[in-house]
Amino acid sequence: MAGLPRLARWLVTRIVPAEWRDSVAGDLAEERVRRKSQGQPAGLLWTTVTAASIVYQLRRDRRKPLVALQHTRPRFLDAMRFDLRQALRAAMRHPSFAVITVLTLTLGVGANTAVFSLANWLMFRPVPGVSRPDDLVTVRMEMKSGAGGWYFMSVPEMKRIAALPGLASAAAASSTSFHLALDGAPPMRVEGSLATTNYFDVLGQRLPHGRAFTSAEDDPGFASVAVVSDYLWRTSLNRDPAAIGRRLVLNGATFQIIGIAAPDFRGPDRSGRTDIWVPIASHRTSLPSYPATLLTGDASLFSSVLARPRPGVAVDQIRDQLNGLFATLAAEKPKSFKYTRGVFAVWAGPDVPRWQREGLRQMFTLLLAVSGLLLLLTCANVATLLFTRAHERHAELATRQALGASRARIVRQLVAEGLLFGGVGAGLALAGAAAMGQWISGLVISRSLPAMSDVPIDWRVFFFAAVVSVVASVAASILPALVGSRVRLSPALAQGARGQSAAGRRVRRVLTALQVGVAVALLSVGLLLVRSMIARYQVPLGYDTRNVLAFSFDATTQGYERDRLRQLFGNTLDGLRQQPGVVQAGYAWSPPFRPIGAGNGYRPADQPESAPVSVDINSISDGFLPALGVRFLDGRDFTASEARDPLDLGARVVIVNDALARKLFGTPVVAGRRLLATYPEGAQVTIVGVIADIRERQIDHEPVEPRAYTPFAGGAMGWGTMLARLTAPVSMVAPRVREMMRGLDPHVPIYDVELVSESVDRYLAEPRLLARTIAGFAVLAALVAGLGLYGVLARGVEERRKELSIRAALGAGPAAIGRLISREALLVTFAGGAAGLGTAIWMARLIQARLFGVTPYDAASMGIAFGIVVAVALVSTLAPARRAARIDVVKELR
Amino acid sequence: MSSFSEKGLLGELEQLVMLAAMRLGGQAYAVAIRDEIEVQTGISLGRGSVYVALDRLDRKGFLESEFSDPTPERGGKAKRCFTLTASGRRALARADQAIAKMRQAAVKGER
Repeated sequence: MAGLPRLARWLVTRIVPAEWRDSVAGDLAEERVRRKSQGQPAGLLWTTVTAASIVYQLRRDRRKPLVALQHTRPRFLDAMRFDLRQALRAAMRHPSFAVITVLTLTLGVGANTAVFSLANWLMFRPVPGVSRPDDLVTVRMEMKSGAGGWYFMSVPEMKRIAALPGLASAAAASSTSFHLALDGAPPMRVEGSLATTNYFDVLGQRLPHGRAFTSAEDDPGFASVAVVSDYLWRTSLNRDPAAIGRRLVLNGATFQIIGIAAPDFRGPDRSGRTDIWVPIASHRTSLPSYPATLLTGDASLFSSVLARPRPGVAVDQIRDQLNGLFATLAAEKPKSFKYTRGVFAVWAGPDVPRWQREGLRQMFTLLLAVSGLLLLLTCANVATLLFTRAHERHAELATRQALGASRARIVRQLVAEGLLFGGVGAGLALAGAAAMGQWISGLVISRSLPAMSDVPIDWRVFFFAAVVSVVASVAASILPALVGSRVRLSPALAQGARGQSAAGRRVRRVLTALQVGVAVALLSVGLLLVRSMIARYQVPLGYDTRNVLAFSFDATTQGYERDRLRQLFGNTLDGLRQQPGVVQAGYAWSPPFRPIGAGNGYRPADQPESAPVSVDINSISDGFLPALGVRFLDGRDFTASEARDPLDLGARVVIVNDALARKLFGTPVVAGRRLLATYPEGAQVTIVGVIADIRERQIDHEPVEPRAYTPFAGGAMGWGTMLARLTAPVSMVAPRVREMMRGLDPHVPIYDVELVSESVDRYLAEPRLLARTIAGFAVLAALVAGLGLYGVLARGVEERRKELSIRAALGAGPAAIGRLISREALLVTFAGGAAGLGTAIWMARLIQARLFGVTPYDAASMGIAFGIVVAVALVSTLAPARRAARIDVVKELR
Repeated sequence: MSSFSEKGLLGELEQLVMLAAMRLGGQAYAVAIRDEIEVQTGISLGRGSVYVALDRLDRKGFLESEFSDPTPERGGKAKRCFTLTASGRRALARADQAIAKMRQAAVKGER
């Protein structure tokens, strides 16, 4: 028969794909006949081997895709897309898990993004209105001692700098305050600048409306022109396109608006608040109090000079040229104070004061460190969550491996899930970053920083958030993926694996301990900062801040001369004292926490040979100290006639503080004793009063420094701050005070109207912000850690149901079972907490400079932090422990 | 470079098989095809390879098959005879043209 050997027949009829069965068998039979007739081997062996080969090849080919090029492995992106789709499906199956994971990641990424966007804005974003800022250099004359101060430069000095061979151009602006009046409206105080006429050209700013200054306006006769800021144009000129050419009154002199500056430009550094620029040559009309020889003399005007180097000239070369110039200047005027103590400093970029940059850098380093820790915590948290999930999917993963998925494939799948969560988290974080940033800044960090709402989210922030979320999600998912993919197939498939391996449980405990540690560390640092802030507020200032209203005015710019000034101050004070709701009033040159420096030296008149004690002085009127509620240790306040001494020397009487009295005489009871002043040299003054030490300039420094108060008739300076002790609410008094001032002189605006306590708040704004932010982060950290602990415990109870019910069956009561669970929680908490305290001490030492009234090793703060975390841990134990205690033995063991 | 356009490509073996099927008309079954290729070119293909090529071309829709009447020498089993489909002819023509164009270009480049 034309049949086939049995094995061959079985192969071609059973194993070959159905549509080939008959034909392959027929073909083989036909060939056998032919081969036999040709004397070729066609026996059992040939037939079977040939059949097997055909069957094998056909079957193997059926498993390959039809298109040849796709025989290679799927391309990376396709694999990724597939993984993500799988991940999405897995996430949809457990929405609550997905939501918790995403929210946790959002928190970590969001906090970091918010901090970064603020840092990014400060450090990287270009200042509006400055083109090619990196090509600019800033020149300053700094103190050689490195104390951080600098000397102002005169116009001739600036011109010498501009003439350096390495510089293509140089410009400078000097800030000042103007009283600006528009169309007969009452004047307002604005920040302005005396600028060189090439100022906008050097900045590379093309004015959107009107024009910049021209060199013709270096001539005082043509200099009464002004460029106003876009901000001023928007807020006070109603965006009037016809504003160019309008007149405005600056300090009583008429100017013409020639241009509107670029949007958002208010000076070359971000903290700028300049709203009006006028040529230096206009100073005779706009700033009559400035020296007449401002353009040619030694009068110091510019804190820095902005310059554009010639192409190819490096900053180092300019520094060499500046050093050469400095030597020349010093040789010309060897006795000059500046030239003996100063040195030129130059750096790339527009003017951002170095001290400010340094302070902000420190603060952001701290904030980034803290938000980084928060990120670590959220990673650990998400890792535990994913860990649990990977474990729950043990059976699924085992099935996949059984179907041929490699371990790498499973890891990739799990990491893809992490990335999915991270991606969604990053999206939410970016959306929330602005809100979060607002919460972070909440208030203006300092006067130099705008609120977060101005801070844009640019590509760097996007990039940062993306990188952070990818790093975070990979970091969080890689460990669970590695451990989770280590599946021993047969037991896993057989019973769906109830218990987790001891190693797995250990990893989860370590991750939870890590979270607890970070929470303890952040809480400790937060508490240290909060306590520092409270301590600062609790420092007795020695006077009342809550009920004392302060406001300032500056009459010099309105052309007041000495006698009229004295009259204005006297009238203001008298008027103020008659206001209902005002019980005491006085004025001072330097009000609390708005320090202006001046000094003098004193020694006892009967010891003319002794070294004078140098002191800070403040000039005050009668009534100033009583208005603040300062306590007199001896003697009395100035009388009205002393304080308003028409000779205005103020040299006859003095009030000293306790510190100075003790330093000079060893006792505070020194009223009536005489002192010799250093300035004017040899002048004799009589101490009329001794006050208890008060803190009016700083809080952080111990102890209060010697201080003296001289009478202030309001003549010499022309500006001052009025203080009034109120018995009525500020909202009632302030409007009347404004009205009163308008009545006295409508052209003298008042500014900085606030309670003294608000000045204190502003002084403490930065530490308060920092304490609030870090405490906020710390609370979040504690919550997340608590959630993490809860998750681990709840999962642990689930896994141990069988064990626990056996224990219960053997006689363990609900209390004993509850204890068993709590013990695990406390173990993790204490292990993590101990590590956290170590980190806390390390961090606290880093921020020691920002602490006040507490040491970095403050036991109370750490104890409270630890206590909070233990309390949170106990709360998160409650539910799992209860569930464990209520395990139904019968149901469980059946 | 989507996988769609790759579907139209033919391997060398597939082309040989299709050309043989074309020449054999209605009598193109595995044994005859293999013989035809051997006679025309001297290339002796593995039996398995021929089946695989036929199977693939069938699944790609370039060939279609019908069973002939069973004959006794085949043990009462039918032959599975293949003919080219319209898309099979097009694919063959495309492959021819593609090779011809590339050859032309390559030869030109050599000069």
